[in-house]
Amino acid sequence: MLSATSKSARLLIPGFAGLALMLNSGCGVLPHLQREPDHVFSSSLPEIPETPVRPASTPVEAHYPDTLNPNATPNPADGTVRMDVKPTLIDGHIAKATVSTLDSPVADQPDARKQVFSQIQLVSFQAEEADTLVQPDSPTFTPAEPRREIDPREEPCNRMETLAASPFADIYSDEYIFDGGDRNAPAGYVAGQRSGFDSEDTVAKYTDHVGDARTSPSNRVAVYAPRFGSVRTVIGLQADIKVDKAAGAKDSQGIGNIKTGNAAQENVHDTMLSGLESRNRVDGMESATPAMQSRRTDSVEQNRKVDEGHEGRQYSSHGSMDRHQGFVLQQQIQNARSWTRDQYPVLTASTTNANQIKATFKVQQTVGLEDERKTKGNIHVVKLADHEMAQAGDTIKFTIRFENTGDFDVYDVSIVDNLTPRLEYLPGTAVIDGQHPGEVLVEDNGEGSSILTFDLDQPLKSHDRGEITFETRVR
Amino acid sequence: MTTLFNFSLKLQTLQVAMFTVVAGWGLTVCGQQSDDFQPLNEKMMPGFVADTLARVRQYDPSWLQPVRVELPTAGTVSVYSATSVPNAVLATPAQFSVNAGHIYRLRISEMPEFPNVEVYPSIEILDRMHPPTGRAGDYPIPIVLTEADIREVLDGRMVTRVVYLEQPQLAAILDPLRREIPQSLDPAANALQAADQLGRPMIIVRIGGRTPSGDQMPYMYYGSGGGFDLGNSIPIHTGVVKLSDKRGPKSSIASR
Repeated sequence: MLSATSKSARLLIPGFAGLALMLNSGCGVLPHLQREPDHVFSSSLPEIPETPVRPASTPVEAHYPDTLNPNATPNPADGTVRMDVKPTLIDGHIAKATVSTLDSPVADQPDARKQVFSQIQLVSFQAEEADTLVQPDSPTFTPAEPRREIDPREEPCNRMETLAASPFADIYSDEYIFDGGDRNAPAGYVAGQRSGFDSEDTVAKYTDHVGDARTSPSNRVAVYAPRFGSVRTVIGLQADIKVDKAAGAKDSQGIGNIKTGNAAQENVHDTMLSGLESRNRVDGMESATPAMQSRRTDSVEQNRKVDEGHEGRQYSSHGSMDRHQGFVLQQQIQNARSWTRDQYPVLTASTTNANQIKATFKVQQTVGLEDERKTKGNIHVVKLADHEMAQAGDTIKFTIRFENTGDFDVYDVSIVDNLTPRLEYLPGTAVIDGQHPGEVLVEDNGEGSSILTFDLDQPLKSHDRGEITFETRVR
Repeated sequence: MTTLFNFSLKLQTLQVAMFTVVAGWGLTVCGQQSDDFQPLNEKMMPGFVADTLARVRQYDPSWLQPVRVELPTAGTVSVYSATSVPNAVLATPAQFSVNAGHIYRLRISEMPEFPNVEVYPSIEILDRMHPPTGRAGDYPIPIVLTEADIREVLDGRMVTRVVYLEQPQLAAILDPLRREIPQSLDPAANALQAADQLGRPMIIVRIGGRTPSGDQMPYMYYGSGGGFDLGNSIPIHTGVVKLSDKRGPKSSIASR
């Protein structure tokens, strides 16, 4: 008996578990039962109108403009549809189709034949002109909407041109060393301090003729020079032996330390604040709180009491807010009533006076010289490298060409190049051409490489150009 | 009959239990979804990570990625792809081309630092490079096995290296591969995730002490059958050496 009971119990346990899972709202059959049908079924069959039996349609052979030969003699027996077909599908059959074959009397004329083929070509290749030729009941073509709206005024996200040996440089940028352009935050000067100069950036900084400080980034140069690294793990039978400590890669934390640092007891002890010993009361008097009460504030309940300031509650109580807003609300209701009542329409009238303006024009003459300089001074920076590909240890010579493309001179010209960590500046190789004297300042960029600043001593005149070169070694 | 009934009852109970476990596992997986979650790691079955990435990225099978195996000083490198017959035997540094998304077996031997020792690392190609046209051979993915790696293996441990393509903007001053910046991780850490934080994981190299014993080797021990190209490298042996024809390794790790 006991055995039979245990057997039935063992049979019922999986049964109940399966039933519970089936009735579960997430995976059971209940949602399927509760779902409303998306079709309405009828017990009676609808009446099917009797349709005349149509003969089976012959297959239609498609011809394209390239395959049509106007000189070929068409075979009227093949049933080939040549042009001007406006099929309408009804129950899978072509009905009301206007078919003109080349054996029609109209098509026998040479001019008509030319028109036939010209219409086909228009339909195929010039859709907008073909719209005027097709019949109103012919199928119309609606172009698909673009998946993303294109704003012609929208500026591209990255306006910097990249000079690279492969068009994939911007896609697989981790295989290249980049230099030039303005990466991430826009480079500029805020209160005389450099701002937004990321590594790889090459920017010309100058002041135009009206005194505005401006910056112009260069193009980007991509040199294919991938470099690899590796991380290593060592697993042995003694799994808890750590062979090497990760330097710069990762630090391991013991679970015990985490538990100790997050102990609730320490947090309670840390909240003993001496500042809680005195606080302002409502009556303006101050009273010192004994140290014992200060300790009591460590508990959760006491902390909550301290945070509830009485003065704050008075100012932010709901009653005062309701009284204050009640007047405004009542006035708004009255205004709404007076504006919406039909029996008191508000009439507005205004009188417009006609004015007459009399003006007398006098002939004047301005004598002077017109400044033909139109465009502001603008420095265009082009960066070039003498290598498209490099290996570690190779020397790359960079050339920065700058030109004032505006009509006005620019002043305080500086060209700043923040080198990427993979490039090591070779000291003494920076040269500014002879026509533009200046100085070169080399600073550490904090990322293992250098910031090169080329300051020109003199203003850069309009449409004047110069050149800077320096060499780096690939790490 | 009673036995059959008990068996079916146990089977039902087992099915319910398995369904409950799978449902709970699914909920747990859904709860773990976050930006930092890396579902793959180097401790998975050899070849699984590369196969998964190949299915996702749909690598061009006609592209063969050059790799270059470097040993401490000298030695020979044999490359296997799905069979016990090596595709080539090369002198180090050995350069050859393989398919991304596949796993290959190597045989390292004749190292002067370790006489009569041979190890059989596997290389799992996770990703490929995109060099300028015609210059792929100039930029192989390096697989550098150090003397410390071989010594760890001889001591009975398993060394796993994840070779990654360095992110240039996060690059260090020193070369992390050849100038030996120690980048060893805790054995419990996910090396694939650590490599992913430093760059793009390219190859998983596993070096253990297991040596092949005849033809009764596990599935895909000799690789998953990816393509192989010798490129411009010149094999050092003109004849083919079949492992099953050998008497056995000169000095297997197990016998040490």
